[in-house]
Amino acid sequence: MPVDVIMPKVDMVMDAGTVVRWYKGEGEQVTAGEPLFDIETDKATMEVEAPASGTLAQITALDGATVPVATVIARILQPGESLAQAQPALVSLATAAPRAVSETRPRKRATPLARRIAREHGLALAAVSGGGLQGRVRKNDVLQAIAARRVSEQPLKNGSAGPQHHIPAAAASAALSAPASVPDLAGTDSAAGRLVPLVGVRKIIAQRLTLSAGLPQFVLSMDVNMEAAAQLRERLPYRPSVTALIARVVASLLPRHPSLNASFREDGIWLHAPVHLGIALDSGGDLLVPVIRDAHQRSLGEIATALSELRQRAEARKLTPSELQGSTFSISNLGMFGVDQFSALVNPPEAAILAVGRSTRRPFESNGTIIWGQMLTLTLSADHRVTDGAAAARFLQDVRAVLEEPLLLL
Amino acid sequence: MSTITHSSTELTTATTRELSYSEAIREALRQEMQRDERVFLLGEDIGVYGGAFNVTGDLYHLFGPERVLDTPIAEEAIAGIAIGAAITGMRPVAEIQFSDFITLASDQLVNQAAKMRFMFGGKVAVPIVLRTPGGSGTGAAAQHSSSLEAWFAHIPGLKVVVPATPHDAKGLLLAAIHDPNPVLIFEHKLLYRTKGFVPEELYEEALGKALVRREGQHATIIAYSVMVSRALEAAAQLAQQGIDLEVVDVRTLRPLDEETLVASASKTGRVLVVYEAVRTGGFGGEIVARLAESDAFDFLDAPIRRLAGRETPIPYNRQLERSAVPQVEDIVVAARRLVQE
Repeated sequence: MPVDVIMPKVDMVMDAGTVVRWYKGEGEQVTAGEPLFDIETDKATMEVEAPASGTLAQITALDGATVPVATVIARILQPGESLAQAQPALVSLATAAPRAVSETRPRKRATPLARRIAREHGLALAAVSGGGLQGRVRKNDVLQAIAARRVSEQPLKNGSAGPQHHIPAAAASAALSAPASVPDLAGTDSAAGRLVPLVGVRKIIAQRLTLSAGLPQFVLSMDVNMEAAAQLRERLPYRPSVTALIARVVASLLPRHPSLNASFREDGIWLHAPVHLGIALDSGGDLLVPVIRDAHQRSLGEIATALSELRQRAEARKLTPSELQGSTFSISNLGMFGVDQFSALVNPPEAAILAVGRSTRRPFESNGTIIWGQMLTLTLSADHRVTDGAAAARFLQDVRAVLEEPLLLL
Repeated sequence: MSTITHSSTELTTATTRELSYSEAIREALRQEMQRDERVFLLGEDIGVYGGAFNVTGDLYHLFGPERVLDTPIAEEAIAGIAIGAAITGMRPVAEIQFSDFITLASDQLVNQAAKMRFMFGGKVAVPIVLRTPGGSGTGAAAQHSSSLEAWFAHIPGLKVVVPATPHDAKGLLLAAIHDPNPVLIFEHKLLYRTKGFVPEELYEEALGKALVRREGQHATIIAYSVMVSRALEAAAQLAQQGIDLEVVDVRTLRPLDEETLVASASKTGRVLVVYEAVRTGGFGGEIVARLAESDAFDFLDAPIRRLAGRETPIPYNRQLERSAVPQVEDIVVAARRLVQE
């Protein structure tokens, strides 16, 4: 019997995954256990192994296609088997790749009336969200989309847009519910620009930080003399990074500052018992925030090791969803990019995030004289619904005190 | 011969009174027998006894045994006698006591009555009317409760009529008697005692004309026979919830008034077809198909839905019998779901 290749469920909360790329094509031999395709979920990208050996056939979810978990996306034929035995034939699934030539009819559910109205108004059904059974687009859904398009086109018409904003009538009527200045999904590549689909991490960032921007946040900054910390780093054989050191300090102090290791809820403020530390990493242009779990119970060495492992796995795009969720506080360090100081946006449901700038030699006053020191600016952003300026300031003071006298870590 | 009014759906004439469905049929028979001496009745127990559902009533005493014939229990003979008489110029109105027994008369109806005009190049007409009560709801069990109208609507050459009101029972029966072709009228047992306004004079309701019984915006219920009143009751209940239903009474299955059905479907964009017969092969399926392939397609805003009898012989147990065919509450649920989907 042919063996089904399915979209795996790699995470408790996963209900769909996107095929990023196939390592093998139809007709090629695969061996059980070898990498067959990469998938991307909301949170991570990972490799899926071939479930059996044989000939790969009937790939229905091509590169870029998003399908529900457990969907059969290909079959592996055993020696001597043919496609005819692999009945029933798989239904071709949605795909973004140009390889998809078999499916020309739109897969969107829509009533005949909705299709007709959309056609008459030059509205692409793909842009209309269906409110009916199984997402079916109905008359009212189309009428609402048409109304929304009218509203979004309004500023363009009323504004004092110059001639360079003039849009030919044909193009305008083809535009969807989005403002005409942002071309719709139908055209993803043109001289005017290129559309990057909102998927995976990018989508999560967009959702979370839009949420964050609506929160009442305040920002505090404090300079820290890193002279002693730098000496400590030099002396330790595994030479922890600045990020690792700050992570260790923050993790050890947060239990004493519960309002910063907390989450706002409708029914109150949840104070997290453990410290799960999110560390923002840049990985090939993507922002990833892997989590060091129970960081408050870990030594500096353990945190440094965990961090370098997470970094390697992030580079290889091998982080699992569980490694990317559940953080209670985050640290973002842009010092390595030469950023002196910055403020970060709180990542809900966390209550605070610490932004770490570049460690530089700066002059400062000490006992009436000006001396040079290795200085670094910490900037704490916090959710004012959960904590207050004084509480946040006391936390920052404690962080500074330990960083300036690392023996306090003992 | 007195004159005949055509299509008096308006119920405003001074001569309109309230009659039951069976009284309306009896009045039509009596008036037509008085008007046209070629008209005679035949069937089981329709004479001295007055009919199993008391439809013919006292007509035996008014017209005598030559014009109201009590026949043996032999449905093929009833149909055959009627056909023979019709060919020779008479206007027989035959009754099959329960429409379930029409199976015995089917050969005469399907192979003779329906085909003679065609096979003799139009030189022979078979102007018979066959009345028969169908449907469930009286606890008469599986062999006395079927809804078999679709079988005969399938036959070119037969006309099939399914009146829903006393007014139509009279008007459609008169049109059937006047029609030069064989017409089967499926009356409904539960409707015999229902009352409605019926004009006293002779009038015809044209065969092949559906009627919008209630105008509405949100969805169309297409029904016939007893399901019309259930659909109207459901529509009245849903109106209180802000759901505005149109109810169309098909009235004749063959010829079928596709135009009225398509117009209503195009207007509301949502259609529920309700019929008592078993869902599979029932006439509602034909209505759905006609709409699906019509110009209404581009105006549909939901799949066309059916509500029909369950796939079972009608049970004797009253609760089971009730649950075997669509009731008002079933129509309410189905119609509400339809307008929301």
